[in-house]
Amino acid sequence: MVRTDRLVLDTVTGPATLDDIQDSLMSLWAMNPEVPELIRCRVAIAAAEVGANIIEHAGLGVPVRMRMESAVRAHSVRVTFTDEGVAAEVDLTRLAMPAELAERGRGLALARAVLAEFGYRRTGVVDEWTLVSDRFC
Amino acid sequence: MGDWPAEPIGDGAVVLRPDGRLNLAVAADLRDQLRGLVQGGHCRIVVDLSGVESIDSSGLGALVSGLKAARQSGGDLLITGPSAQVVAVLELTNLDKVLKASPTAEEAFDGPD
Repeated sequence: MVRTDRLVLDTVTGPATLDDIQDSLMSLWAMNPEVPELIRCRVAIAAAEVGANIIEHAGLGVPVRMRMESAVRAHSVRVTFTDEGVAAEVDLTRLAMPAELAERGRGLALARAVLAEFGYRRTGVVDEWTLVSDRFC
Repeated sequence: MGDWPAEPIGDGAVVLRPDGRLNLAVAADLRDQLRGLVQGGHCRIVVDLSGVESIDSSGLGALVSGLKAARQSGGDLLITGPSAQVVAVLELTNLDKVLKASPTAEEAFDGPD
């Protein structure tokens, strides 16, 4: 069975964007109370990191249009982010935690650690990030 | 954002109590406040996270920055009161071995150095 209910956050990045991302996920959980707390926590961690990456890098400090779509399908949570900022220079297959006293560089590795699937592709001028949680019963 | 309350807890140590979401939006404020405490002579810092809803890698980076500043001045930085979310993020990033937790702020610097 395919559920069609999804949430869309269509915005221009700014100081409230990270809160907007979390608020959107809170709405998703309210629509889908069967999603376990552990899955919610993990998706929230990953979404926060991808959102921060878009704010910081895709826009190079300048606001950029960003769209987040989230849905619960096939016993997993799927979130996609698209933006029209600068392409991310990242190889998701080579993510690793930095040295323990590094002050940067953990974000995408952290996102990868809490997801079943984590993807990025650039199509034309659009970045697309795909986040899929572990399955739950 | 930022400019969270900081209180002395005796013996030259100070506790900082940030709240809300420690993310990219406030990480620079947290880093600056921690470094400001060290520059002000407080190199033994406890960060009470009991009011923190969640933390991301930017917030972690700010804590690591404060830890490094404190240690470079001969002190240390510990945390207390982490939520389940904060504990999970610390473990996932292996920073649970670096940002040590104390049961309470007052006990953070008790015992042998």
